[in-house]
Order: sequence, then C-alpha cells, then structure tokens
Amino acid sequence: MKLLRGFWKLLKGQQAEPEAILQTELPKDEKPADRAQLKEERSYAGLKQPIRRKRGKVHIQVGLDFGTSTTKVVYSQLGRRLSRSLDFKHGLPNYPNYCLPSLAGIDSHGRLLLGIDAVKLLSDKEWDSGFQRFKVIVAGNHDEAFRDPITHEKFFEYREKNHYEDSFTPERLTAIYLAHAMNMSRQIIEGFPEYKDIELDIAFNICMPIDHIENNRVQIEFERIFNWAEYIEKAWHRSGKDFDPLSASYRLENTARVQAARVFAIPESVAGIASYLLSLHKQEGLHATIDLGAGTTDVSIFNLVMPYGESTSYWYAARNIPRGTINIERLIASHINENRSAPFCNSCEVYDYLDKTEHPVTHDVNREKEQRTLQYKIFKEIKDLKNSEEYCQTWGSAFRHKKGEKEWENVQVFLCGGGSRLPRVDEVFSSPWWKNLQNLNVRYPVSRLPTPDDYVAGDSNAPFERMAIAYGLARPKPQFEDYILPRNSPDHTPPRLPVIDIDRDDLYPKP
Amino acid sequence: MSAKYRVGDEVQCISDPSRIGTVVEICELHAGVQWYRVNLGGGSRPKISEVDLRPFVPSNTPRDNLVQAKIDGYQEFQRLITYQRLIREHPLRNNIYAFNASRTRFYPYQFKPLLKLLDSPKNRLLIADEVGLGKTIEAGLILIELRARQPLQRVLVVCPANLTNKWHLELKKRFGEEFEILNAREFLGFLQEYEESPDRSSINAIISLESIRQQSVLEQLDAIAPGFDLVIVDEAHYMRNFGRKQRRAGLLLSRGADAMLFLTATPIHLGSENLFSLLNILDDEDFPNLYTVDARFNDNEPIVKAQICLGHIPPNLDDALDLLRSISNSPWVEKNPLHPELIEKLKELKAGHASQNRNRRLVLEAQRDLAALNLIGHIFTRTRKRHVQTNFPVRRAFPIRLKFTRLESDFYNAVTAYVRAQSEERTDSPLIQQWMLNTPQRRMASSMPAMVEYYRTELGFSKNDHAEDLGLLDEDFDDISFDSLDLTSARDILQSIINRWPNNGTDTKYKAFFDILRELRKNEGRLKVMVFAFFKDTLRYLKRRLTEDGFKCAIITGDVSPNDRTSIIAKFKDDSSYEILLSSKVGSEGLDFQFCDTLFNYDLPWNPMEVEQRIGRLDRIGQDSPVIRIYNFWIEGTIEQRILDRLYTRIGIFERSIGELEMILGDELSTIERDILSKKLTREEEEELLELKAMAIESRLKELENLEKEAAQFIGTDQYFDEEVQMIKNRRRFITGEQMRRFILDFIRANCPKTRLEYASDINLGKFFPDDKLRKVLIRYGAPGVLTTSSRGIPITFDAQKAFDAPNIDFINVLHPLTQSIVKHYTDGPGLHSTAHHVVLKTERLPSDLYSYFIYRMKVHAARASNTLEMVILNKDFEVACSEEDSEIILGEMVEKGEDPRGISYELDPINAQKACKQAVRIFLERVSKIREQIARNNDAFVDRRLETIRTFYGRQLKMKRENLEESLQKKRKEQYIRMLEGTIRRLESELQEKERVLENQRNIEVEYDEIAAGILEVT
Repeated sequence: MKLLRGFWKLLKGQQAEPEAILQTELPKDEKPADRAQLKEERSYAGLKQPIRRKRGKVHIQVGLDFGTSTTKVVYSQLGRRLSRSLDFKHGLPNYPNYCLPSLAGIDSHGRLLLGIDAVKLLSDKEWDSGFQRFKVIVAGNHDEAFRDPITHEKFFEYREKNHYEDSFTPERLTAIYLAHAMNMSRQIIEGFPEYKDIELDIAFNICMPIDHIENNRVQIEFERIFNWAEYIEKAWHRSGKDFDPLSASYRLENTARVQAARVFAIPESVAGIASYLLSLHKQEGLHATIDLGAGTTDVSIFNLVMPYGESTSYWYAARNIPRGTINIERLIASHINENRSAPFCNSCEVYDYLDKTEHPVTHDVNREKEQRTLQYKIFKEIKDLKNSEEYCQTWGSAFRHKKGEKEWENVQVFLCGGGSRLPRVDEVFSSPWWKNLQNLNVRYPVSRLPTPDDYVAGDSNAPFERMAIAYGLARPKPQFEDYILPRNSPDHTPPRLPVIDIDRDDLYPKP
Repeated sequence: MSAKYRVGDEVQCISDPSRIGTVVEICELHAGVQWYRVNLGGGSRPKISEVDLRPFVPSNTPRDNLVQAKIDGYQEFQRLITYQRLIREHPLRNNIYAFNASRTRFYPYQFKPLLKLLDSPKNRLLIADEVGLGKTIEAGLILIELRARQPLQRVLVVCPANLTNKWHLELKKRFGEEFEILNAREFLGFLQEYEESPDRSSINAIISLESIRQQSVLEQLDAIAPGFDLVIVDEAHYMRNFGRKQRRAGLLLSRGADAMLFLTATPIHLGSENLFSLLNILDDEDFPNLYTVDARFNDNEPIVKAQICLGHIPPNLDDALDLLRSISNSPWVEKNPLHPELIEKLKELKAGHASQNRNRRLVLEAQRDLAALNLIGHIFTRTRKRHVQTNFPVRRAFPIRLKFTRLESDFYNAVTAYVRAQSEERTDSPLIQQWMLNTPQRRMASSMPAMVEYYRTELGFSKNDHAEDLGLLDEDFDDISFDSLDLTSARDILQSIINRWPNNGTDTKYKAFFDILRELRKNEGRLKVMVFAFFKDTLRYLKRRLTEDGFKCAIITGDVSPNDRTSIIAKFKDDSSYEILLSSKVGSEGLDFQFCDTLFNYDLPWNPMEVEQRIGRLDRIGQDSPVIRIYNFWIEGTIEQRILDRLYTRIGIFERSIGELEMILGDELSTIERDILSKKLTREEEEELLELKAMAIESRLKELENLEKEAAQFIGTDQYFDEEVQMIKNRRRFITGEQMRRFILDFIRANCPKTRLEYASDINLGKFFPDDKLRKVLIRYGAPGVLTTSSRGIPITFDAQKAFDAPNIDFINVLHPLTQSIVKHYTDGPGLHSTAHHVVLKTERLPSDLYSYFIYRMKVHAARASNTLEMVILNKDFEVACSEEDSEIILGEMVEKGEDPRGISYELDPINAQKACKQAVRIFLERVSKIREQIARNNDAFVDRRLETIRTFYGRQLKMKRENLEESLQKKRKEQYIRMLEGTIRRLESELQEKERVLENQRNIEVEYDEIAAGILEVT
C-alpha cells in the first residue's frame, strides 16, 4: 500500500496529502449554485438582456453502460427531450470515440493507467493483456457461477507480474475505474457551452445484469463498489486534476453513505428496452433481449403486459452468460497469428477484424478458404452460444412462468450490443430454443431496438444498437415503468379449463 | 424540500407539452428532485419530475405564452407550423403541397406547369412537353396540388380510348387517386345526376375521346352545361380540327371548367391553325381568332427579349427598358398595371441608387413581373429533353438479319398474296382493309407458329381477332359494325393456307432469338430484357418456348389487371431470376422500365409512333444506363424488311426520339401499310412510295427543328419558373417526409397510445397497426376505409422516393386521409397548446445571437385571395433583424433544420416580451399596408377584366340557349327538352349574378391576420 502511494507521490510531485483531499470534500460557505446564480443576476442587471436564461440548476442524468470491454455513456437533461451520447474524442485506432475502454494497465514505473491511457500503454502488447473484464471477475469472486477461469487467472497473473499488492483487488479496480468513467463524463458535460456557468446536479445510473441483482452476495458487493466509486469520484471532482484515485480508494474504502446518493444500480435489460417501451413499436407479449457483449452475453426474457395503457414488464428469466464475443476474439487472434507467423497480435487488430466480419474479410488474410473457415467458426461459436446449456436454461426458467407450447410460438427477439452485427446472428437467434417449436418450423422475429427520436448520436455518430443500454440508463430511476424481476414474477400460465368428471352413465344413460 | 404541486393540480409536461394531466400522487425525492405520478388519461400514469412540469393553462395566445415564459422546444414549433401549412381551409400561397406528395421521382421541371397554373389568372394551361418527360405526372401534380388546396368535387380526364387504362393506373399508382373509367352511357348518367342536383354531384372520372364525342353526349353537355373543378385532356391535338366533334366536346367542357389542362406533344407551330385552335378552346377571350393570336405572338417578342436581357449578368437594363417601351401601345399591355410598374423598377435599377440587396430583389421582382406580363406564357408551357436531361441514353440498334427456310418463305408469300387480294377486293370498306392488315399479315410477320396455332384453334374471325388496339379513333369507323361484315369467303381461303403449315415447322426467328439470349446471358452473366410483340398469342408462344428452354419469363398484356401488372413488374425488376418480360403494347402502356436497357422488337409495327412508344418505355427520364440496346428482326425478302428496315433506318428511329411526328404527319404515317400492302406495286413503285414517305418525314423533322428555334423568341424560356422551383426546394416551401412523420407520430403518441408504428427512418419504411381510437378518428372525419388493420401491419412510408420504388406500400403524405383527419381533429378540438418556442438554428443569414420572432398568418380577401405565413424577426434592440425575403428563408430553415435548445431555457422578461410583441405587430402591420397598396393597384383592373370575361362568356351562353329555346318553341320540340333549356337559362342567369356579386365584393380589399407563433430564435 505504501509502495503504491509512493509511486503516486513521485509522479505528481507536490501532490496534496489525503487529509487535504478530505478537506476539499467539506461543505463550503458559498455553494456553487449560489455563485452561479449571483453571477447570472449580475449579468442581467449589467447588460439588461431582454432575452435571458431562466434561473435554477440543471439536473443531468448520466447512463453508464459499464461493459466488460468498453463503457458507453449517454446523458439526458431533466425537462428536455434529448439524450446524447458522449464522445471521448480519444482517437484510438480500434475503439470508436463513443467507447471508453474498460481496461487498466500498469506502466513501467508502476503507475496505474485507466481507460484511454491503458489502451495506449497496451497497444503493442498482446490482445488480452492488462486488467480486463474486471466486472466479470468481481461477480465470479462472489459466485462461482459467474466465474471465467481464464479471465480470472489473467488478472492475478498481470497483478503479480507488476508487483502490485494483494489488496489491489478486482473490486478496488472496478471502483477506481467507475470513478474515472464518471469523472470523465462529468468533465465532458461541464465543458459543453450550454452548461457554462450553470450549476449541474449530475446523477449516474450504472447497469447491472439482472442475475447479479438477484444474487444477494453479488448485488451487495456491487452496491458497495458503486458507493465507493461515488466517493472517489466526488473527491476527484473537488480536487481537480492532481488526484490519486488509487490512494483515495484506500482512504474511502468503507465510507458509509451519509447523504443522498447520486449513483444508482439499474437492471441492464430493463434499461436496454427503454427505447422500445417509449416507442410506438411496443406491443404486449413475450420478448427476449440478447445483449451480445464482448465478455458476456445477457439473455433476458420478459412478458410485456399493458392492460390499461400502462405497461408492466414481467422478467421471467435473465442470465449473464460468461461468454460473449470473447471467444470469437480469441479465434480471430489465433487466426491472425497463424497467418502471419508473428508471435502475437494486439487488441487493435482483433477489433478491426471483428468489425469487418459482416463484410468479406480483407485484412491481411488472403486465402479465401481460410477466411471461409474462420467465418464458419464464428458462426459455430454463435450457434454454440445459442445451443449452450445456460442459454437453454434461461428460456427453460422463463417457460416456468408461462407454461404451454402455444404461448411460446411468438416471441419478439431484440439483439443489441457489439455482437449484434456479427454475420448470420439473426438467423441463429430466430430459431426457438425448444425442439418442439423448431419441429413446428417456428421462427422468432429478430430485430434491433428502435432508435428513438430524442437520441442524438454525437460527433462520432454512435450507433444506437451499441448505446441502447446507456440510453435507457440516462433516464432517472423513477421513470422506469413498472418491472418485476424474475424472483417476484408470478406464474402467468393460464388456468386450465375446469374438467368435470362425468359419470359414464350420465353420458350414456341406461334406457 | 417541499413538493411544488399538490394532488389534483393540472400540469403540463415541459419536454412534451402535448402531455397534459392531473397530479395523482406525490412520489419520492430522487437525486434531489421531487417526482409525481401524473394521470395523462387513457390509462397512462407515468412518473414525471418536478423540473419537467409546469402548471397547465389552456390555450394561451403566443403573446401570453411568451410573456409567461411558457416556451417549448423545436419539435412543438415544427408540429405547429406543419399543422398551419396543412389546414385546407387556408392553403398557403407560398407553399407547394404537391412536393413530396406523389410516387414520382423528383424532377424540378415537372413542377413548372403547376407553378404556371397557380399564377395563371384563368386556370388554363396547354402543356406541350416533349414525349418521355412525363406530361401525365405534371397533370397529376396539378391535380393533387389543387386537391390539397380545396376540395375538388368534379374532375374529368379525357383521353383516347387506348389510354384510359393508363390514366387510371397512373393516377392510382402515383397519386393515390381513384378514378373510374366511364363509357358514354355512364357519363350521360352523371350528367343526369348533375342536372338534378349540381351541388351534390361529384365525379372522378376518365372518359375516352371516342365516348365524349358521341352525339348524345354532346347534346347533353350542351344542354346541361356541367361545371367541373378540373378537366384534363390528354392528346389534346385530337381536338384541333375545326368542325369535328372532338373539338366541340373540348369547347363544351372548357365552358364549365374552373381549371383546364391540355396535354399534347404538339410541336410549336407558331401562327398555325392547330395551335390557335387549341388555345382558342382553352381561352376564347384572349385567343379569339388566328389574326389576334399572330398579333399576340408578335407583341410578346419584346417581352421575351426583355426577359433575356434581365437574365444577363449584369442585367442589360437599357435594352430591357427600350423593349418594354416599344410595346406600350399594345392592346394587351397598355391596360396591364404591371407594365408601368415594371418600367419604374427598371428605372430605379438603372439609376443605381438602391442597395445591393434591394437591387437583387428588384431584378427578381422584375423577372417575376415579366413572366406575368408574358402574353403566351400564362397559358402555354413546353419543356424539351435537352433542357432538362444532361445524360441522354444513346439508342443503339442491333439488326438481326435472317433468311426464311423454303417452307416459311412459301407460307409467307401465300399469306401476303391473300392479304393483298382481300384488301383490293374490299376497297369499299376501310375497316376490313385495316382488319386484314392488322390480323393475318401482322400475325404472320410476328410469329408463324403462333399464327397457325391461333387460327387452328380459334378459326377466328371475330372481334377478338384484333391486335390489342386498332387505333380506330377516326370518326369514319363510327357507324360500322364489325359483325355486319361478310367474312366467310375470306375465312375459307385463309384456312386452306393455314393447313399447309406442318405441325413441326421450323421457326427460324425463334431460333435466332434463343441464340442471342443465350449469348447475352453468357457474356454479361445476367439477363434482363424486354420483348415486345403485337399479339398475345405470340407472347404466349414465346413464353412457352422460353420456359422450355430454361428462361424465366413474365408476361404482361391488356388481360392482366393493373394491380397484377405492377406486381409482375416489381418481380421482374427486383428478382434477378426473372430474365425476360414479354409485353404487348397495351400491357406496358403507361409503365416505366427505366431499370431495363435492352429491348427486343419481336415484330415491328408499321407505324413509327408505335415503335417510338415501345422504345419510349425504356428511353425515359430516369434511365440510368448510357446505352439502350434495340434488337430488331429483319427477314430477307419480306415486305417488312424491304420497307420498314429502310424507312426506319432512314428516319433514324432507332437512334433518336421522333416523338412529335404523329402530330405533324398524322395520316401520312398511318397509311403506309395500307398503301403498300393493299396495292400490287412493282419494286420500283414501292421504292418511289418509300422515298416519298421518307422525304416527307425528313422535311417535317427539319421544319420542326427550325420552329423550335424560333419558339424561344416568341414564347420565352420559362427560366424564371425553373428558378422558382429551385427556390421552393431551397426555401422548403413544402412539407417534407420527415416533418410528416413527426406530425403523425406526435398525434399518435398523444392521442392513440395503443396504435403501433414501427418505422425505420434510415430505410423510410414502416409498419402501422392502428388502434380503435385512431380508427374512430378516421371514421369521424370521413375516411373509414383507409388503413384497415392487418395482423401483420400495414406497410407505410413517408418518403416519396420510397413510395415510388415500392408502389404497394401506403404513402402517407399531405393528402392522405390520415393526415387530413388529424388536421381536422386538431381544428375541431382544443388545437395545439404550444405556441411559443425556442428554436436553435445554424444559418448564415443572421449573425450568431439571440432573436425574438413572431409568425402571423395573413389572409388577403381580394380578387386574387392569398394566404401566407409571415415572420418578423427582431434583434435584442427590438429592431428588424433581416429583410422579409430572408425572414421567409429563415422560417423554412427553422422548420427543416431547427434544433431543440440544450442547457438552460431562455425567456423574455415580461416587460420586454410585451414590448417585443407590440413592436413586431407594428412592423408586421407596416408590411401589411404595403402589400395592401400593391394589391390595390392591380385589384380593380383584375376585377374589371374578370367581370368582362364572365359577362362575355355567360352572355354568349345565354344568347345561344335563348336562340335554341326560341327555335325549339317554333319547331315544337319535346316539352322535356324545352323545360331543360329553360332550366339551364335560369341557372346560367343566377350563376352570372352570383359571380358578379362575388367579384364586386372583391373590389374591397380585406386583410386579416392571426398570431400563430412567437418565440426565441438562437442562431449559432
């Protein structure tokens, strides 16, 4: 611990002591809100502007889609019909500007680098180096069911290799990373000209898979991390640039919540369908959302009920399957390596290749046959995911809430996440999970979530299918229409028709 | 923190002001914000934050909303302006509704006739565009524009019989207009209905020229004198001949038509009797005789030259002024108040004292005035291909030269000899001569096996034994009944010839056809060709053979219903497995095949116009391929090869369009076949005849070219209207598909939450599932049959281009019953509450700053009523920020590309808001008084001219009717007829009185205005 603090001190030179940082958190006599108001009043009085800004602070809701490989952010302003994706303007070659890499690395001086800096650091390293997918590791630490052994091992291997202490846990890293993501988002929003000299009250929604929420141990841990991250970010915000999040994380590790929170956990799938529920597309019935992320795939099945105009979504089943496009990334990495006899390929090349999979692959692989083989392997990987035990179990769990073959003949399937662009993905997921239905030639309609009118794609033109969850998260928690999570979802199986036993003699009375 | 609202308070959502409701629950405090549950009605009870709520005050004026700082965003602004543009009771003068409202590709020149008609004082127009430029579309655009502006109760389309289906199909497919095809009897029924109740009778009909010229119809038209809102006459040149029944029909229709369009590919033949005749039907007051027409053309020349002078950069003002002064004494110019005004404007320009902006505006105004002063331009419009199309496809002919086998040759000679003999014998009957040429000879030239097959099974000598059209528009055939002809002997001879053909006879032509198709498929990897033939039997024969040989083909003939034709063509276009489309002339009539660039003439008509029409299906505006390939079969030694090959090569029909030939050559073309086949000519005589025909065609083509050159000098170039179309597009004086989508979506969200609409804006395609509430709205406003529910949804689009590409999907535009119903719903209901807005705009017309704007609807009640949206923009010092012209452009930009404000909302403090409103009204009223002055200068002269016209028109009608009545009384005609005449006279008298009264009232100019919107404009 001391060793780490020493590094930060060395790096930042005259850095404030943690005690000083704590002082910055104390309330001041003059609140920023008062300052802004005073300034505004002065400007009215001095210039006598006939057209002036309305007074008051602005409430911003930021949605943070904390993904295993990237974090996407959308914000909205309460009272305005506008949700805008944030642009990080990092110019990284294989991460779009709207994606903040969920990545951390340690440089040769032992400095912990986060997000964009980490990608720059690792750009010449192997594609899966650095701290990656820490969200999955945290969940796996608290429930074996979420554990991905390779990812787990890699984390600890990297930590040891860089001589970090055991106290540098995936939970700590997650809290620091989230604080970093929130702080970056805050800085970008505050920098917009429309918010110049205006007091902003920013709240954050961060997504969590439904099965994490329903698993007490995992949920409690994530809520602790979010709380922790909120305090780190608050301290970061007040102290400005010269801030050591790592040391602050130690200091603020077990701070109890003392005031109204501004960071909230929202079920990922519930947020994902927000655009659908707001649109004129929505209809009653069974739906499935499949979020094909890089590290995990979220499969959620819900029944939308709209008896009197107001809709309630009954989530019958949700599962965070620890296999996303990661295996496809692995496939591509090995394919690139095999074909150019290089010792390794970096993550940039993998993402570049992955983006081109929907078109004929043209990277540095020339042999057509091998390309076809790779494409087949990708297809097979998607199919394996679809045929996996976890996928089928999820549908099976949902089925228990509404039993009856007929009921499951029509399910609207939505695909989102980066993997929704993979070739033939629609074809795979349009096939029902149940053999009986497959035998009846039932095909589920597969589509993307509708792009809402108030969504502004930002400078980097973020495609909505990648931002759907962040968009949903950019709505304040009370606005989410009623949803019932699987644990509380009732059995909606229609009651059987009453069968009255009639005596044979009643049917055929004796003469 | 205490809650601002209590349970029961009426509140309005700030981010979406259409959401109005009552607070039913005070909910939690979340992240420092108080939340409420609000009952919005219809079962919707969402939670809304306090920062998104304001107290609801019903229907405030823009001024009140501005003062109370109830300022909404861009979407509400867009919805309000779209609604204002859509109100049918007050159509906007400076808005073109037909833009983006038809299933057509956008070509600016096609809006020129529409603009001319809207500017025309008498609503009469002769559209004489070159063939292939889409005259039908131009007429359709006028139809929907007029319909969007006012309800059209009676619309009549008159065209040759073979085009009635085409019109029916085009109007339905492209404009969503349901027209019924009427025969003479049915039309008489309508006239009867009209006679009984003129106000209640309504009709959307197509009638053939052949039907309307019937004596009984003409008599009734004359006696009843029905009124039509719009009459469209296609191929109007059929009405050109004085003394013919068609012309009389034209005159009778023109008499009662509020608006009338003539469509013809007539070449410009200045001073000719033909052109005069057509203009005279349209407007006998301005074009009463040939002498006046010539004089008018001469007086128009200086005006046209002045237009050209103003078009120069910089404008040649001296010459323009001299030219205008030279016509001061012209009887058509001296009474027109525009003439002195124009001279004043040019003088001001010449003096050079005005600012640069004023100069620019003056030049534009002068150009507009000159266009209005043009003595011909208001009634005549012509567009040539070379003026609108930069990349002409090149026609390239591929002759396929073949030799018959001995058997085929013998058979051919036998049939030809038979036809010649029969034609000579029947010189007394033109119909039988025509039949002879149309059937056995043509069938044989088309396909021998198909011909044999036909005559063996049908033994056909009946009405069915025609090519699909005989083109019998000539009145000579009126009284001949086909059944009355004795054809027994002819049948016996033909049967004996047919029997000579063996069952397995070789088909040289098909074999060559097959080889070429195979070769094309091999060389190009794909095949997409159109094959034309005269006879359905040939087409069926080809389909059978081609299918056997592994080609997938589709077939369209007159037997296929219009809807089926559309789906067959869509299949042929989109499904690559369909390689060949077999079509007869009628089958492809009115349809466009720009997506295909290869054509086979399996047989060739004797009329070059028909060849042109076949090629014209592909060689149309919109053809993307640089080359159109035309394959023709020429069989050595046949008459077709000897005559047609040489004639068509000589006149270059396969290399260039000869569209106007029909009008200028007329009978000369239609008689070639008869002249050659019905006479036993030696080779030399044949040569001589051919030479004569070719020379006639060539000299006429040359003459035509010269006339075109002269025309520009007398009629003008219509450059002003081209610019006007461009301006409409640039200034967004129309409702775009996106605006339409938002308008509909907003309504559905607020009023019919159970309606589903799945729409993908990137591909402009969606599915619509209307709910009961929406259906009730549709039923209430008279559109019960539209958008009938389908479990799979109704495919829809808001985009004209998509609607053009996919004709079977519902196109929701300004005229769609759904749109009209929503507009009526808003008009009848509480209206739109949101009237003050804050719009962010990126524009170069104003410096970056904050402005206040005020939009008014100005209604002018005068001889030429007008209705416009006017905007006043004020800067921070409450001074006018830009010119009227710029204001109009900015209004268009605000609607089209405005944005919602971000960050904190702006407001005007109440005192300043009041001040700004007063200032804006003052500026607007100044503008109004200027407009009033302008109108006053022209109004009296206009009313006088209209009164004179009406009195002349009715005076003539009444005189004629009174003479008729007198004559009938003397001759003691039927009492019923006399009563009818008396009734018509009474009606005409009262109509005249009413029209005089209305016109006299129009001498008083009234201008009224409404405040429509106000708000803050943030220019970034």
